[in-house]
Amino acid sequence: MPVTVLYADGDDRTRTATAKALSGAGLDVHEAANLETASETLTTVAVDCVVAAYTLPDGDGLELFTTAREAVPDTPCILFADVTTGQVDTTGFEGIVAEFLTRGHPNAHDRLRRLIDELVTRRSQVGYPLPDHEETRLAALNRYDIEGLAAQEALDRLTELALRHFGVHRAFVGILDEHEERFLSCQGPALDPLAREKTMCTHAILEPDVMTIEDTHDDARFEHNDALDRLDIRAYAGVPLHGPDGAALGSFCLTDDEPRSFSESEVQYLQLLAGEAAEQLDLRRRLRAARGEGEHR
Amino acid sequence: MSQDAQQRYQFDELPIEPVRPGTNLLVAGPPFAGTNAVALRMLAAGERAGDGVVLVAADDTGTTILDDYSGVGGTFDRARMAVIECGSTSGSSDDTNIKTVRSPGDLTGIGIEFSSLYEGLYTGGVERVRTGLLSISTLLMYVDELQPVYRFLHTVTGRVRSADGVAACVVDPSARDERTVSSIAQTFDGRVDVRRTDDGKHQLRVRGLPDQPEGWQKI
Repeated sequence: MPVTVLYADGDDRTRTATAKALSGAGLDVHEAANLETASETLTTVAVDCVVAAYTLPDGDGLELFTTAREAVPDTPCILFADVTTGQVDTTGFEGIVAEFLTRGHPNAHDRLRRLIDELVTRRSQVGYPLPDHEETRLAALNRYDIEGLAAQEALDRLTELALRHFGVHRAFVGILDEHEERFLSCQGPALDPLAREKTMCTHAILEPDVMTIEDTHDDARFEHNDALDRLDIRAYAGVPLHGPDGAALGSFCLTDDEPRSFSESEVQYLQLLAGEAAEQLDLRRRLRAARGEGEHR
Repeated sequence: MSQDAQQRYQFDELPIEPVRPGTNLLVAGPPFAGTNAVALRMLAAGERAGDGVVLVAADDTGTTILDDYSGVGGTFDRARMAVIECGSTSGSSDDTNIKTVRSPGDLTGIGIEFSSLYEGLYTGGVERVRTGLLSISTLLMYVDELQPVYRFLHTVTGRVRSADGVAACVVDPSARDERTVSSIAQTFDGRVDVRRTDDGKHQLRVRGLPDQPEGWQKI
């Protein structure tokens, strides 16, 4: 699939020439002549990269990047600028982080295309730590075809067992896709898919065994995470769900709406449930493969 | 010498074996152990090869850190070196090779200056660039949320990987909780720990990279 780029620039001639160059290089380019149109495009088109001039007729490129960070936070942003870095006022935009490329660059269009490729491929602007071998992990996840596994009932039984045993606010199985976490089974208040930079499981899968957080307000990684407060998450225990090749697909988790600790025996019990959930997923993957419903065994 | 060995970044007298282009190193240790000096020596070791340098000076003024850089044998050669200082009390530097950003918390400002300077060196023919960041600890002091810091570090390390550069980014583990430092270390390919022993000796050890000396080494 071609890389989809949103390109915002109020100068018709410049925009058309740049869009033509990028399209000619195989990119799917959506042009916007102003901030409003570009912001609307972000709500209707799944873009892989946002490119903008600094000055737009009704705002500036950094405002567009702010909207992008809220809507699609992993998406790389490039200021393809008609100004120098010293002319860019970052006041109020300090945490956005974007690439900068001057239009005065020799072979600017070619360099822009390569920069887009680099940023999209390397996921260079994500707001969370990536596991080692993330591409391998995603490839392993892709082999599961999670939606087709019909594992819902089995996972629901396990999360219900967890909720009853621990008496926590919520128990769930989450899978970490490229950009968000999906919740396959959840007991307690429902969870909608969540951007990875807002999830605790993104950190849990970096751990070999378990991640426990007694109080999210007492951990620098989570204390300012408004999504956790919104979801009443103050305590967390998550065990990675490992596939047969060791890749962490997601985690089996408990959350509570009050700070709490998890004893060693509680962690061991959670690890048993996580091991069972991982095996249920893998058995179903093998079953589908054996029936010829999938390519992979 | 094989082509691969020639292309690796050397660190002269430091007990660190040459590393492959595209390697990002976290240099971790307290200030009193000489951690910044180790990172600056890793940059200055490219002098003879004519490597370029982009130095993000968040801890102090650009001029002060350049003095430290000279102190470890580095030369501020404007044809191949540029500095980003963050929040100088004396205002912006007149030196065009020293860019000033308002605050260490302005990661967007530091990021675009970094991209611009790196790009400028590269298109100017300096294709081997060493990046220094002194220090991540200071950046962390100025932000609430960690997401922008991860985003910024991915931007820097991604650029270094794409351009076959090398980076030495300093963090003081004693200034932050271990979990935060550990999650930040995830962005890097390897880690250089620096310490001063009770009898005043400075040592380092390299972790996470192949073909490096094992255990603590005398600096």
